[in-house]
Amino acid sequence: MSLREQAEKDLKGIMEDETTGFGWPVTIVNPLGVNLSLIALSGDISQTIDPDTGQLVSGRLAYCSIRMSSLFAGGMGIPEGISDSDRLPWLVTFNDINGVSHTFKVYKSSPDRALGIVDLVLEGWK
Amino acid sequence: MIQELINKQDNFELVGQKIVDILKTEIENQKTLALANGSNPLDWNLRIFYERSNAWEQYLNNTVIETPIVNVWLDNSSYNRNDSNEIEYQTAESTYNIDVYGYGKASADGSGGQNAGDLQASLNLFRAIRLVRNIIMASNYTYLDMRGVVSRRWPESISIFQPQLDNVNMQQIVGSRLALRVQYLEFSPQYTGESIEEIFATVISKETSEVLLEAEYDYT
Repeated sequence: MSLREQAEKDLKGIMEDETTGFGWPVTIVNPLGVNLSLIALSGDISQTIDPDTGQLVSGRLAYCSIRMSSLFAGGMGIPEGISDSDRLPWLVTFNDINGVSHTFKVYKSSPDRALGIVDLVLEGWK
Repeated sequence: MIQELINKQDNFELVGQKIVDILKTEIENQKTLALANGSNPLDWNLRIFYERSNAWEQYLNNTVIETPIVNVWLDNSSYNRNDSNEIEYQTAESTYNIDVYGYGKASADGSGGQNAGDLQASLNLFRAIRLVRNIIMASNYTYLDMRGVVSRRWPESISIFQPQLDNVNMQQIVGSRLALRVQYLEFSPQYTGESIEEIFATVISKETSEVLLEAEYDYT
């Protein structure tokens, strides 16, 4: 097994260990409404941004990193940001540490096909 | 020494507060008119702040409310020597930045598509700018309700700002700045002299001997 293949296998312990690691249950819904539950890395933290006016605006950065092989094993493709208003976006749902569920829209998808990880930047969804 | 306590507000303060007062009053009025018109008054709602740097907390903790935020703050002032009186008053021109922030959240449109969050943010922003500009530039407020002090108000520019792509945020926020230039008078404490002599003057018509004017002056 090459080191690269070994690195991909190690992702299971790094990204999908919800018992002793940072793995966290997430649910992904594709534009067709098909959903898949898996373990991934996710986060939702506050930050401040400046829309260039000189005034700081409080904001939030939500993200999710998923092992691509787990997506493929569940019959899913790679999530992507969808700008078209006549299509539903990819959605990601996960609980915060206190058990409150939050649903997000996939804003930007950055797949790392060399290692087999896709990083998702998420946007608020109501 | 100056004999009086300087406990007045300068006009650069009063003008900023007046802009906020006008916006608040007129927004409430617009909501009443909208209701009477059978429209949703929330579409005319704005949250208005004065000289604040952290008016945006709702965008972090309460992402349900999409009401645009307006913050009025003084940017700079300059004085025109030619239009001023060395002793009593100076003509000042100040730029008040009226920052407006729109916020939008993506949602399903109910027919298999989506209402994009960035579009919603821009539409909310445009609605807010439209209201602010129309209210401030309404002929009712040519002198910002401070006739005799304010002589001109003019919107110098409206700039729209979008967050940089690298600062991708869960919230879709678009900002804008309306730079409002206001010309007004600024007054300062005046020396009050002691009366040395009283002058009494009478103006009599040469033709009819009628007394036209009597006046009394304190000469200091």
